[in-house]
Amino acid sequence: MSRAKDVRHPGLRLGEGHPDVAADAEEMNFGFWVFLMSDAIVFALLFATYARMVSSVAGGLGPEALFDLKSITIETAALLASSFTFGMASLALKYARSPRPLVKWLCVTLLLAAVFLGFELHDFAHMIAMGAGPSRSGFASAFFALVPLHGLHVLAGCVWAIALMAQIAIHGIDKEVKLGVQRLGLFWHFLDIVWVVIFTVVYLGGLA
Amino acid sequence: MSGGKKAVGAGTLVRRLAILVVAALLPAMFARRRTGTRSLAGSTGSHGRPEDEQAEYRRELGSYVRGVSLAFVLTAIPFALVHWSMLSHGWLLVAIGVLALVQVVVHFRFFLHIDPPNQHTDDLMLILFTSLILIAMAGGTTWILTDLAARMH
Repeated sequence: MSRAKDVRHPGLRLGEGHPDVAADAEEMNFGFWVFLMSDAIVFALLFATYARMVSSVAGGLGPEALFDLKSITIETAALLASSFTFGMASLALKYARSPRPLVKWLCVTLLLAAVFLGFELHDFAHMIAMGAGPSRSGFASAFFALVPLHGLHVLAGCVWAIALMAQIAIHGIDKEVKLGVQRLGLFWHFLDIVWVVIFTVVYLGGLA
Repeated sequence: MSGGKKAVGAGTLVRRLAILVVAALLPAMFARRRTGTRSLAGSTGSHGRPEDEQAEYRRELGSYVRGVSLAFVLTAIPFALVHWSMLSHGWLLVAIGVLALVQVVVHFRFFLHIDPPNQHTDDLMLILFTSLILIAMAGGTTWILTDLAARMH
């Protein structure tokens, strides 16, 4: 089992214990990786727009007055922790012989994602209540194009995770579920990377 | 709420730091529990010797724990820097930018398992090509829009 042979596609390799997915894993993961990279370009352009627009507040409130660092800290901690718990779900898929640990870790991940989305919605509501809704200024438009798009991605990941758990409940851990968990893992870790850039550029950059 | 970073008392700071520390420790606690409950999985493995699998599991678990620890440290530093305004504005932006880049690399390495020497060439080419497109498009957008904005004044 040479390491170089083992390391092929992005994400966790399921390895020799899962011969059923070996034939498709590389192709499917690579295809999904192509999608993720194109998604990265969408986010990059929204970041570029935001970076340009951040000072265009049109006489309204700017980042200093609108962002609450405490809430951002909690969101960041929840999302980082959820990336780790999803890693644990991947390991459970690879090593555990029953679906139980996998489902457990997926549930923990969903819980952390719910915390993240809850605080994020609260932030958005706060901004809108302060009179900085999407149509207020160039800054607000750029913000509401970028950050909620990431939130929608997280929500989509949650729906996907619930669908996978339903699949597990009906079919058990079959090939489709294994490939699904692998790709959702890529998606989830990718969203965490986008969030790192969001808290740096949007929140910390805005408050610095 | 609108007072932001300047108007927070020492108590709030300590509380926030405590939240960060607890958040950083949580995954490690979970990981230890997980190792304890795992012994039965290896014994029924469909390939290789159980101890091989056990060792590989430890290695991969360790990789995730290292990744998440690094991620939390690399997050806590920029938050602290901004919260206490430890550097001048320009250096602050440079510092959080560099720390974010490092953290992105950490995520790629430990969570997405992108490991250049052992990586499939197609994946690596895709990442490098995307980075090129990304720099060209995002950089170009910023350049053009900044230039336009400058002409408006």
